[in-house]
Amino acid sequence: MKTDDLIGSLVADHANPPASPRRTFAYAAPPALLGAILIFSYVLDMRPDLGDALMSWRYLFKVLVSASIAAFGLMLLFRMTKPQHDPAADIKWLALALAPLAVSLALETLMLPVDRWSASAMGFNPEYCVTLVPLIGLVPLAAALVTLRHGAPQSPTAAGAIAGFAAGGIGAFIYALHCDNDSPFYVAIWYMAAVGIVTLVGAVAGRFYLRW
Amino acid sequence: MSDLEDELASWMRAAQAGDAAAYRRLLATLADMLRRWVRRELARQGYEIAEAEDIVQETLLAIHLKRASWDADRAILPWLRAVTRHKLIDNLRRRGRRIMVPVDDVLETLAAPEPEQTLSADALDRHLATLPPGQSQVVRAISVDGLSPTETAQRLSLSEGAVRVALHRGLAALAAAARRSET
Repeated sequence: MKTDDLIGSLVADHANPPASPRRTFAYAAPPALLGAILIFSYVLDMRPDLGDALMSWRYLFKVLVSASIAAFGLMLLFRMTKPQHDPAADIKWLALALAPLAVSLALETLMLPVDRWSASAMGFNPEYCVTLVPLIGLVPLAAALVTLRHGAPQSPTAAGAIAGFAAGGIGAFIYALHCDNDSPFYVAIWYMAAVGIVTLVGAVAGRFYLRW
Repeated sequence: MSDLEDELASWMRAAQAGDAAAYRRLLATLADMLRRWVRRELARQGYEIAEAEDIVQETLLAIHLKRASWDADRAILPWLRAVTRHKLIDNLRRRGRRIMVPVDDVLETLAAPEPEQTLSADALDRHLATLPPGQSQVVRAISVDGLSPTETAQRLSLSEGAVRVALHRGLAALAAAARRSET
Protein backbone atom coordinates (compact mmCIF):
# COMPACT_ATOMS: atom_id res chain seq x y z
CA MET A 1 0.00 0.00 0.00
CA LYS A 2 1.26 3.44 -0.84
CA THR A 3 1.59 5.80 2.07
CA ASP A 4 -0.44 8.39 0.17
CA ASP A 5 -3.24 5.86 -0.26
CA LEU A 6 -3.21 5.11 3.44
CA ILE A 7 -3.42 8.83 4.15
CA GLY A 8 -6.40 9.00 1.80
CA SER A 9 -8.24 6.40 3.86
CA LEU A 10 -7.35 8.13 7.13
CA VAL A 11 -8.70 11.41 5.76
CA ALA A 12 -11.88 9.63 4.64
CA ASP A 13 -12.30 8.41 8.23
CA HIS A 14 -11.70 11.78 9.84
CA ALA A 15 -15.37 12.83 9.95
CA ASN A 16 -16.11 10.57 12.92
CA PRO A 17 -13.50 11.58 15.47
CA PRO A 18 -13.16 9.20 18.43
CA ALA A 19 -14.31 10.45 21.82
CA SER A 20 -11.61 11.94 24.03
CA PRO A 21 -10.77 10.16 27.30
CA ARG A 22 -12.55 12.87 29.28
CA ARG A 23 -15.70 12.57 27.27
CA THR A 24 -15.59 8.78 27.47
CA PHE A 25 -15.25 9.05 31.22
CA ALA A 26 -18.18 11.45 31.44
CA TYR A 27 -20.36 8.83 29.75
CA ALA A 28 -18.94 5.75 31.46
CA ALA A 29 -18.57 6.97 35.05
CA PRO A 30 -22.22 7.55 36.07
CA PRO A 31 -23.50 4.11 34.97
CA ALA A 32 -20.41 2.46 36.45
CA LEU A 33 -20.99 4.12 39.81
CA LEU A 34 -24.63 3.15 39.68
CA GLY A 35 -23.67 -0.43 38.85
CA ALA A 36 -21.28 -0.54 41.79
CA ILE A 37 -23.95 0.79 44.15
CA LEU A 38 -26.51 -1.69 42.82
CA ILE A 39 -24.16 -4.61 43.39
CA PHE A 40 -23.51 -3.29 46.88
CA SER A 41 -27.17 -2.94 47.73
CA TYR A 42 -27.99 -6.34 46.30
CA VAL A 43 -25.31 -8.16 48.29
CA LEU A 44 -24.93 -6.05 51.43
CA ASP A 45 -26.70 -3.73 53.85
CA MET A 46 -25.48 -0.51 55.34
CA ARG A 47 -24.21 -0.94 58.86
CA PRO A 48 -27.04 -0.10 61.28
CA ASP A 49 -24.86 2.18 63.43
CA LEU A 50 -23.65 4.33 60.53
CA GLY A 51 -24.68 7.51 62.34
CA ASP A 52 -22.53 6.65 65.36
CA ALA A 53 -19.71 5.46 63.15
CA LEU A 54 -19.54 8.88 61.53
CA MET A 55 -18.52 10.23 64.93
CA SER A 56 -15.60 7.81 65.25
CA TRP A 57 -12.17 8.85 63.99
CA ARG A 58 -11.38 5.29 63.00
CA TYR A 59 -14.37 5.07 60.71
CA LEU A 60 -13.74 8.51 59.24
CA PHE A 61 -10.15 7.58 58.49
CA LYS A 62 -11.32 4.41 56.77
CA VAL A 63 -13.54 6.50 54.52
CA LEU A 64 -10.75 9.00 53.97
CA VAL A 65 -8.23 6.26 53.08
CA SER A 66 -10.62 4.85 50.45
CA ALA A 67 -11.57 8.28 49.10
CA SER A 68 -7.93 9.27 48.82
CA ILE A 69 -7.09 6.14 46.82
CA ALA A 70 -10.08 6.69 44.54
CA ALA A 71 -9.39 10.41 44.02
CA PHE A 72 -5.65 10.13 43.39
CA GLY A 73 -6.27 7.05 41.28
CA LEU A 74 -8.67 8.96 39.05
CA MET A 75 -6.30 11.89 38.76
CA LEU A 76 -3.47 9.57 37.71
CA LEU A 77 -5.84 7.80 35.32
CA PHE A 78 -6.20 10.98 33.28
CA ARG A 79 -2.46 11.61 33.27
CA MET A 80 -1.98 8.08 31.96
CA THR A 81 -4.14 8.75 28.91
CA LYS A 82 -1.37 10.90 27.40
CA PRO A 83 1.41 9.09 25.54
CA GLN A 84 4.01 11.63 26.67
CA HIS A 85 3.29 10.92 30.32
CA ASP A 86 5.93 8.76 32.00
CA PRO A 87 4.27 6.53 34.65
CA ALA A 88 7.47 6.46 36.71
CA ALA A 89 6.78 10.12 37.56
CA ASP A 90 3.66 9.06 39.48
CA ILE A 91 5.29 7.17 42.36
CA LYS A 92 5.20 10.27 44.57
CA TRP A 93 1.48 10.70 43.94
CA LEU A 94 0.87 7.09 44.90
CA ALA A 95 2.75 7.72 48.13
CA LEU A 96 0.57 10.76 48.75
CA ALA A 97 -2.58 8.73 48.05
CA LEU A 98 -1.57 6.40 50.88
CA ALA A 99 -0.64 9.19 53.31
CA PRO A 100 -4.01 9.03 55.18
CA LEU A 101 -3.42 5.32 55.75
CA ALA A 102 0.02 6.02 57.20
CA VAL A 103 -1.37 8.72 59.51
CA SER A 104 -4.18 6.50 60.76
CA LEU A 105 -1.76 3.63 61.38
CA ALA A 106 0.48 5.92 63.42
CA LEU A 107 -2.52 7.10 65.48
CA GLU A 108 -3.73 3.55 66.07
CA THR A 109 -0.35 2.38 67.37
CA LEU A 110 -0.54 5.21 69.92
CA MET A 111 -4.19 4.78 70.89
CA LEU A 112 -4.73 1.03 70.99
CA PRO A 113 -3.26 -1.19 73.77
CA VAL A 114 -0.86 -3.71 72.28
CA ASP A 115 -2.85 -6.71 73.52
CA ARG A 116 -5.75 -5.72 71.26
CA TRP A 117 -3.70 -5.23 68.12
CA SER A 118 -4.07 -8.66 66.68
CA ALA A 119 -7.83 -8.91 67.33
CA SER A 120 -8.33 -5.49 65.67
CA ALA A 121 -6.21 -6.43 62.70
CA MET A 122 -8.15 -9.65 62.09
CA GLY A 123 -11.59 -8.12 62.67
CA PHE A 124 -14.66 -10.16 61.73
CA ASN A 125 -15.07 -11.87 58.38
CA PRO A 126 -12.12 -10.32 56.54
CA GLU A 127 -12.84 -12.72 53.65
CA TYR A 128 -15.93 -10.63 52.84
CA CYS A 129 -13.84 -7.52 52.53
CA VAL A 130 -11.29 -9.17 50.27
CA THR A 131 -13.92 -10.59 47.93
CA LEU A 132 -16.63 -7.92 47.97
CA VAL A 133 -14.46 -4.84 47.53
CA PRO A 134 -13.13 -6.24 44.22
CA LEU A 135 -16.65 -7.30 43.23
CA ILE A 136 -18.00 -3.77 43.79
CA GLY A 137 -14.94 -2.34 42.04
CA LEU A 138 -15.40 -4.46 38.93
CA VAL A 139 -17.79 -2.15 37.07
CA PRO A 140 -15.76 0.99 37.89
CA LEU A 141 -12.68 -0.90 36.67
CA ALA A 142 -14.37 -1.53 33.33
CA ALA A 143 -15.24 2.18 33.02
CA ALA A 144 -11.66 3.17 33.88
CA LEU A 145 -10.23 0.77 31.29
CA VAL A 146 -12.58 2.04 28.59
CA THR A 147 -11.49 5.60 29.42
CA LEU A 148 -7.83 4.63 29.05
CA ARG A 149 -8.55 2.82 25.80
CA HIS A 150 -9.59 6.17 24.37
CA GLY A 151 -6.24 7.53 25.43
CA ALA A 152 -2.75 6.39 24.44
CA PRO A 153 -0.97 5.23 27.60
CA GLN A 154 2.77 4.84 27.27
CA SER A 155 2.67 1.70 29.42
CA PRO A 156 -0.56 -0.29 29.05
CA THR A 157 0.26 -2.42 32.10
CA ALA A 158 0.96 0.55 34.39
CA ALA A 159 -2.13 2.35 33.10
CA GLY A 160 -4.27 -0.74 33.76
CA ALA A 161 -2.84 -0.99 37.27
CA ILE A 162 -3.80 2.62 37.97
CA ALA A 163 -7.30 1.91 36.67
CA GLY A 164 -7.48 -0.99 39.14
CA PHE A 165 -6.11 1.13 41.97
CA ALA A 166 -8.78 3.81 41.41
CA ALA A 167 -11.53 1.22 41.02
CA GLY A 168 -10.36 -0.57 44.18
CA GLY A 169 -10.56 2.75 46.05
CA ILE A 170 -14.13 3.26 44.82
CA GLY A 171 -15.04 -0.30 45.79
CA ALA A 172 -13.54 0.20 49.25
CA PHE A 173 -15.31 3.53 49.69
CA ILE A 174 -18.70 1.94 48.98
CA TYR A 175 -17.97 -1.21 50.96
CA ALA A 176 -17.08 0.94 53.98
CA LEU A 177 -20.79 1.82 54.25
CA HIS A 178 -21.36 -1.77 55.32
CA CYS A 179 -18.19 -2.85 57.04
CA ASP A 180 -17.85 -2.39 60.81
CA ASN A 181 -14.20 -3.31 61.14
CA ASP A 182 -12.79 0.16 61.59
CA SER A 183 -9.31 -0.33 62.98
CA PRO A 184 -6.60 1.15 60.72
CA PHE A 185 -4.77 -2.14 61.24
CA TYR A 186 -7.66 -3.95 59.62
CA VAL A 187 -7.85 -1.38 56.81
CA ALA A 188 -4.13 -1.60 56.16
CA ILE A 189 -4.26 -5.37 55.78
CA TRP A 190 -7.63 -6.33 54.33
CA TYR A 191 -8.75 -3.22 52.47
CA MET A 192 -5.33 -2.85 50.97
CA ALA A 193 -5.27 -6.52 49.99
CA ALA A 194 -8.58 -5.94 48.22
CA VAL A 195 -7.30 -2.81 46.46
CA GLY A 196 -4.19 -4.78 45.53
CA ILE A 197 -6.29 -7.50 43.91
CA VAL A 198 -8.17 -4.98 41.76
CA THR A 199 -4.88 -3.29 40.87
CA LEU A 200 -3.46 -6.62 39.75
CA VAL A 201 -6.55 -7.45 37.70
CA GLY A 202 -6.33 -3.99 36.10
CA ALA A 203 -2.65 -4.45 35.25
CA VAL A 204 -3.27 -7.79 33.55
CA ALA A 205 -6.31 -6.49 31.70
CA GLY A 206 -4.44 -3.35 30.64
CA ARG A 207 -1.51 -5.33 29.32
CA PHE A 208 -3.79 -6.86 26.69
CA TYR A 209 -6.72 -4.49 26.30
CA LEU A 210 -4.79 -1.21 26.30
CA ARG A 211 -2.07 -2.04 23.78
CA TRP A 212 -1.95 0.29 20.83
CA MET B 1 6.60 27.82 20.35
CA SER B 2 8.13 27.06 17.00
CA ASP B 3 6.47 27.74 13.65
CA LEU B 4 6.25 24.02 13.06
CA GLU B 5 4.42 23.50 16.34
CA ASP B 6 1.92 26.24 15.51
CA GLU B 7 1.40 24.97 12.00
CA LEU B 8 0.85 21.32 12.94
CA ALA B 9 -1.38 22.23 15.89
CA SER B 10 -3.53 24.54 13.77
CA TRP B 11 -3.95 21.85 11.10
CA MET B 12 -4.95 19.29 13.70
CA ARG B 13 -7.43 21.71 15.26
CA ALA B 14 -8.89 22.47 11.85
CA ALA B 15 -9.07 18.73 11.12
CA GLN B 16 -10.91 18.11 14.36
CA ALA B 17 -13.36 20.82 13.36
CA GLY B 18 -14.04 18.86 10.17
CA ASP B 19 -11.51 20.30 7.68
CA ALA B 20 -10.45 17.32 5.53
CA ALA B 21 -7.92 19.32 3.50
CA ALA B 22 -6.11 20.43 6.66
CA TYR B 23 -6.03 16.83 7.85
CA ARG B 24 -4.53 15.65 4.57
CA ARG B 25 -1.88 18.37 4.75
CA LEU B 26 -1.09 17.42 8.32
CA LEU B 27 -0.72 13.70 7.57
CA ALA B 28 1.34 14.30 4.44
CA THR B 29 3.72 16.57 6.33
CA LEU B 30 3.95 14.09 9.18
CA ALA B 31 4.67 11.25 6.75
CA ASP B 32 7.71 13.11 5.45
CA MET B 33 8.91 13.98 8.92
CA LEU B 34 8.40 10.46 10.23
CA ARG B 35 10.14 8.92 7.25
CA ARG B 36 13.28 10.95 7.78
CA TRP B 37 13.31 10.26 11.46
CA VAL B 38 12.55 6.52 11.29
CA ARG B 39 15.17 5.99 8.58
CA ARG B 40 17.76 7.83 10.54
CA GLU B 41 16.97 5.91 13.72
CA LEU B 42 17.09 2.56 11.93
CA ALA B 43 20.38 3.43 10.23
CA ARG B 44 21.89 4.74 13.45
CA GLN B 45 21.11 1.47 15.19
CA GLY B 46 22.43 -0.59 12.33
CA TYR B 47 19.15 -1.87 10.93
CA GLU B 48 17.93 -2.05 7.35
CA ILE B 49 16.02 1.04 6.39
CA ALA B 50 13.90 -1.09 4.03
CA GLU B 51 11.30 -1.50 6.77
CA ALA B 52 11.07 2.21 7.44
CA GLU B 53 7.97 2.77 5.34
CA ASP B 54 6.06 0.02 7.19
CA ILE B 55 6.84 1.77 10.46
CA VAL B 56 5.88 5.15 9.02
CA GLN B 57 2.51 3.76 7.92
CA GLU B 58 1.84 2.11 11.25
CA THR B 59 2.72 5.31 13.06
CA LEU B 60 0.36 7.36 10.88
CA LEU B 61 -2.35 4.85 11.66
CA ALA B 62 -1.66 5.21 15.40
CA ILE B 63 -1.68 9.01 15.16
CA HIS B 64 -5.02 8.79 13.41
CA LEU B 65 -6.64 6.31 15.81
CA LYS B 66 -5.28 7.98 18.95
CA ARG B 67 -5.75 11.61 17.96
CA ALA B 68 -8.38 12.14 20.66
CA SER B 69 -5.65 11.68 23.28
CA TRP B 70 -4.08 14.97 22.16
CA ASP B 71 -5.38 17.78 24.32
CA ALA B 72 -5.97 20.70 21.95
CA ASP B 73 -4.84 23.16 24.64
CA ARG B 74 -1.40 21.57 24.81
CA ALA B 75 1.54 21.50 22.42
CA ILE B 76 1.22 18.88 19.71
CA LEU B 77 4.91 18.09 19.07
CA PRO B 78 5.51 16.37 22.43
CA TRP B 79 2.40 14.29 21.78
CA LEU B 80 3.54 13.38 18.26
CA ARG B 81 6.99 12.57 19.52
CA ALA B 82 5.56 10.25 22.20
CA VAL B 83 3.28 8.42 19.76
CA THR B 84 6.14 8.03 17.27
CA ARG B 85 8.52 6.75 19.89
CA HIS B 86 5.92 4.29 21.19
CA LYS B 87 5.34 2.86 17.73
CA LEU B 88 9.02 2.61 16.86
CA ILE B 89 9.80 0.79 20.09
CA ASP B 90 6.78 -1.45 19.59
CA ASN B 91 7.89 -2.25 16.05
CA LEU B 92 11.50 -3.01 16.86
CA ARG B 93 10.50 -5.08 19.88
CA ARG B 94 8.14 -7.16 17.75
CA ARG B 95 10.92 -7.72 15.31
CA GLY B 96 12.97 -9.00 18.20
CA ARG B 97 15.48 -6.20 18.31
CA ARG B 98 17.09 -4.37 21.14
CA ILE B 99 16.45 -0.70 20.99
CA MET B 100 17.18 2.54 22.71
CA VAL B 101 15.30 5.46 21.32
CA PRO B 102 16.44 8.84 22.58
CA VAL B 103 13.42 10.95 23.42
CA ASP B 104 14.75 14.46 23.07
CA ASP B 105 16.37 13.74 19.79
CA VAL B 106 13.11 13.36 17.96
CA LEU B 107 12.02 16.97 17.86
CA GLU B 108 14.83 18.49 15.78
CA THR B 109 14.77 15.73 13.23
CA LEU B 110 11.03 15.95 13.00
CA ALA B 111 11.42 19.64 12.40
CA ALA B 112 12.96 19.36 8.95
CA PRO B 113 10.37 17.99 6.56
CA GLU B 114 11.48 17.21 3.07
CA PRO B 115 9.02 16.23 0.36
CA GLU B 116 9.47 12.72 -0.94
CA GLN B 117 8.10 10.83 -3.86
CA THR B 118 5.19 8.51 -3.17
CA LEU B 119 6.43 5.50 -1.27
CA SER B 120 4.99 2.09 -0.76
CA ALA B 121 5.21 -0.66 1.85
CA ASP B 122 3.64 -4.09 1.91
CA ALA B 123 3.05 -5.00 5.57
CA LEU B 124 -0.35 -3.31 5.71
CA ASP B 125 -1.44 -5.14 2.56
CA ARG B 126 -0.64 -8.45 4.24
CA HIS B 127 -2.60 -7.40 7.34
CA LEU B 128 -5.46 -6.21 5.18
CA ALA B 129 -5.86 -9.76 3.90
CA THR B 130 -6.49 -11.01 7.45
CA LEU B 131 -9.44 -8.65 8.05
CA PRO B 132 -13.10 -9.66 7.72
CA PRO B 133 -13.95 -9.40 4.01
CA GLY B 134 -16.44 -6.55 4.45
CA GLN B 135 -13.84 -4.38 6.18
CA SER B 136 -10.94 -5.20 3.89
CA GLN B 137 -13.05 -4.53 0.78
CA VAL B 138 -14.00 -1.09 2.06
CA VAL B 139 -10.50 -0.17 3.23
CA ARG B 140 -9.03 -1.37 -0.06
CA ALA B 141 -11.57 0.53 -2.15
CA ILE B 142 -10.90 3.77 -0.32
CA SER B 143 -7.13 3.51 0.11
CA VAL B 144 -5.78 1.54 -2.85
CA ASP B 145 -8.47 2.39 -5.39
CA GLY B 146 -8.87 5.93 -4.08
CA LEU B 147 -12.67 5.95 -4.08
CA SER B 148 -14.69 8.25 -1.85
CA PRO B 149 -16.97 6.70 0.79
CA THR B 150 -19.93 7.57 -1.45
CA GLU B 151 -18.44 5.83 -4.49
CA THR B 152 -17.48 2.86 -2.34
CA ALA B 153 -21.04 2.61 -1.09
CA GLN B 154 -22.32 2.51 -4.67
CA ARG B 155 -19.77 -0.04 -5.84
CA LEU B 156 -20.38 -2.41 -2.92
CA SER B 157 -24.15 -1.73 -2.72
CA LEU B 158 -23.93 -0.58 0.88
CA SER B 159 -25.25 2.47 2.66
CA GLU B 160 -22.75 5.25 3.13
CA GLY B 161 -23.09 4.89 6.90
CA ALA B 162 -22.17 1.21 6.66
CA VAL B 163 -19.11 2.12 4.59
CA ARG B 164 -17.98 4.65 7.18
CA VAL B 165 -18.40 2.17 10.01
CA ALA B 166 -16.57 -0.56 8.08
CA LEU B 167 -13.77 1.88 7.25
CA HIS B 168 -13.33 2.91 10.86
CA ARG B 169 -13.42 -0.65 12.17
CA GLY B 170 -11.18 -1.80 9.35
CA LEU B 171 -8.51 0.78 10.17
CA ALA B 172 -8.63 -0.14 13.85
CA ALA B 173 -8.43 -3.83 12.95
CA LEU B 174 -5.52 -3.10 10.64
CA ALA B 175 -3.62 -1.48 13.49
CA ALA B 176 -4.43 -4.43 15.75
CA ALA B 177 -3.29 -6.95 13.13
CA ALA B 178 -0.02 -5.03 12.73
CA ARG B 179 0.54 -5.15 16.49
CA ARG B 180 0.07 -8.90 16.58
CA SER B 181 2.36 -9.59 13.66
CA GLU B 182 6.06 -10.35 13.91
CA THR B 183 7.20 -8.26 10.99
